[in-house]
Amino acid sequence: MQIAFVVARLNALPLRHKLLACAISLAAATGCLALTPWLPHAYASSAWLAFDATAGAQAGGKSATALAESILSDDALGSVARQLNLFPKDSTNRQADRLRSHLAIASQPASKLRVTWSDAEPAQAKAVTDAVANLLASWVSPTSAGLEASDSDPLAPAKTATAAAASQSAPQTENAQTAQEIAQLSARHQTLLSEEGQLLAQLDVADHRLEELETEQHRLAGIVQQAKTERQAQITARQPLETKLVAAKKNLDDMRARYTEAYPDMQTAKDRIAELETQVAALPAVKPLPEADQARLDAVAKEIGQTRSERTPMLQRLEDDQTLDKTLRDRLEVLELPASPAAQGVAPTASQRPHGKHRRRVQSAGTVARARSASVGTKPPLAHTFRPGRSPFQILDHAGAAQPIEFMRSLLPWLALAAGLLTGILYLAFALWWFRVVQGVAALEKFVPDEVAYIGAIPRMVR
Amino acid sequence: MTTQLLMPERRLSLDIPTGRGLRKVVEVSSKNIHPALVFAGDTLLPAAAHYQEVADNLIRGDWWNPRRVFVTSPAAGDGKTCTAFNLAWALSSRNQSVLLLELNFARPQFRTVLGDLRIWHGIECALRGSTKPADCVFSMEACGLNVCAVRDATPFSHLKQPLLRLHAFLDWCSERHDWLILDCPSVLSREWNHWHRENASPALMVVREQQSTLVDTRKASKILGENLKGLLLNDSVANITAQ
Repeated sequence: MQIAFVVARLNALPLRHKLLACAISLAAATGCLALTPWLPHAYASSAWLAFDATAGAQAGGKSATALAESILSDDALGSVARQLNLFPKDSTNRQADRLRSHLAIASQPASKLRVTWSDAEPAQAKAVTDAVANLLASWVSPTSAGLEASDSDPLAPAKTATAAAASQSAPQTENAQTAQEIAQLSARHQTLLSEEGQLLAQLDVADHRLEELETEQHRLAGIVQQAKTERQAQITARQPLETKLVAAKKNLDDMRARYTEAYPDMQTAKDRIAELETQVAALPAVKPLPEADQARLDAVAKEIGQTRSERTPMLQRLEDDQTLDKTLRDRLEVLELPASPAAQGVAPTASQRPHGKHRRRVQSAGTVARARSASVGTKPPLAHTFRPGRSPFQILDHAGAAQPIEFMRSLLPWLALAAGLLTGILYLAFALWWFRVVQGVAALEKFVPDEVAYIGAIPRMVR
Repeated sequence: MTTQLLMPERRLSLDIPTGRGLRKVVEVSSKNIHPALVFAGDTLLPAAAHYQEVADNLIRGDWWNPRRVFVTSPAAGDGKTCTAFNLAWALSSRNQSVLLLELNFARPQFRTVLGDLRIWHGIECALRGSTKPADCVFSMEACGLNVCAVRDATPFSHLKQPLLRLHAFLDWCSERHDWLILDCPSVLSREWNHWHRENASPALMVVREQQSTLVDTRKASKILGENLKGLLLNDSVANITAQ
C-alpha cells in the first residue's frame, strides 16, 4: 500500500522536478568522474627476501614479519628517508612514520618476505624498496653475550683482559680470562658488523642516486652540447654575409662623401646592400642557448657533488670499520686458535652470500663471524646454528619496475554512478516530502486562517 | 464503470437563449454529462447528501454574505467545476434561486462537462457588451439551475476591459438570484493571482485529497487571505472509511 502510494506520488510529481533530479544525478556523477585526473597516481614496487626461520628464531624467536618490523626501527627508516631525500621537511621520527605508512611487509610463505613500497613516483618506489631490502639483508643479530665495549677504544677491554691474563699464573684462570676476552671482542665485533651493514645500505642508496644523477647529467650535457653546436654552425654561416654587409655599408658611406644620390654607383651600392640584407634575413635565426637545460645541468652537477661529498665520509667510516674489523679478527684468531682447533667455519653457500657492489667487504666480515662463532668452545656449533654477522634475510629478487596501482581508479566509475543515483534519489525524496499531499481534514486545520468559517469534506464517489 | 452505466439513461432539457429574446430547448443525454455531476446520476449517492449538507451550512450561516461563493482551488484538477455544479444543484434543491457562473475564461469547462453543449452567447459576450446579460444565462429545467458559461476560451490579456464590467454584471445577477456560485480559475495561476486577492470574496477553496499538495494549499490560502471563508476537501477517503 505504502509502496503503491509512493509510486503514485512519484508519478504525480511535477515533471520539472523529475528532470531536475536527473540533472542533479548527472552532475554528481560527472563531478565524481571529473575528479579522476586529479587522483594521485600510485606505484608499488616489491622485493623478495628469503628468510632463514632457524636463524630468525635464534635472533629473537620471531616471525619474519615481526623480525623485519623490529629491524626497521625509526632510526633505520629515518636514515633511509634522509638518504633518499624523502619527506625532507619532517623530523626523523615523522620521516620514519611516513615511510612506514607506505611500506608493506608480508611473509607468505613463511620462508619468504615481500617488501612493498608505494609512491607517486615509480623510480622512487623502486629505490626505497631496494634500500629497505638491503637494510634487512645487511642486518646482523646482536650477540647473545650482550657485553658492551668502549666506544673510544674498542680493543681496550680486550687489552685489559689480556694484561690481566698475563699476570695470572694459574692456567684455569687464564682460560677463563681468555674466554671472557673473546666474548667481549665478539660483542664489539657484532656492533661493528651492524654498523657496517647500515653503512653499506646507506652507500647503496647513495650509489643508486648517483647513478640516476649521472645518467641525467649525461643526457642533459648531450642536449646542451648539441644546442651549442647548432648555434655555432648558424653563427658561422651568417658571418661572411654580415662581413660583406658591413663592408658594403662602409663603401656606401664613402661614396656619399664624393657623389650625389643620383650617381649610378650609389644606386648599385644600395642595391648590393639590399641584396645582402635579404640574404641575411633569409638565414635561420640564431637559436638561443638552452638556459633551462643548462640550469638543470648545473643543479644536477651540484647535487652530484653534494651526494659524493656525503658519500666520502661514509666510505671513510667503512674503511675505518674494516680496519678495526681486521684488528679484531686478528686478535680473535690469536686468542681462539689454541683454544679451538675447529675454528675453521664452513664457507657460506651461494644464497647466503651478500649482494651488491660491497660484497667483498661483507664477506670479510662474514669470515670473522664464522671464526668467532666456531671459537666459543663451550658447546659445538649445530648444523643450523644462527651465526651472528649474517642476516636471516637474503635478497631473492631486487625491486622490479614499479607497477601502477589502479584500484581506486577502476572503482571510481562505480562510485560516480552510486553518487549520482544517491543524489537523485535524495532529491526525489526531498521533493516528495516538500510536495506531500493533503490527507484528511486534520491536515488542513493546521494552517487555515481563523477567518475560515467552514471546513467540510465530500467523499469519493464509489462507482 | 461509471454511474451512467448503472443508472438508466435520462435526458435533461436545457432552455438556452438564442438572442433577441428567443430561446431554444435542447435535450442532453445524461450519458454525455460528466459522471461527477450528481444531478445527472443518482442523487441518492453519499456525495449528493454531503453537498446538500454543505448547502444547508451555507444557507444557515450568516457569515456567507453576500450570497456569492467564489469556488476556487490551489491548482488545476482539484475538482472546482464539478464541486461548483454540485453545490449549485444542492442549493437549488433547497428551493434557492441559484446562478452558476463560469469565470475560468482561459480554460472553460462547463460546456465540456455538459457533453460539449452548444450555446449561442457566453458570459464573455455579456461582459464585452455584445449581448444582453439575460441572453447568456441558460437554465436546466430538471434541477432548476441557471448557468452562465463561457462560450469561447479567451486569454487573460483580452479580458482587461471585460473584467471591469464584471462587478456590474454580478450585481445584475445578484438582483435576480438568491445565490451566485462562481467557478474561478486556480488561485496559483499567475494571471489570476492578483484578481483573487482583490475580488474573490467570499471564497470556497476546493482541495482534492491525496492530490493537492500541502505547500500549494498553504500558499493559496495565504493569497486569498481574509477572502477565504470555507474549505472543502474533495474525494475524501476518510469519509468512505467511516461509512
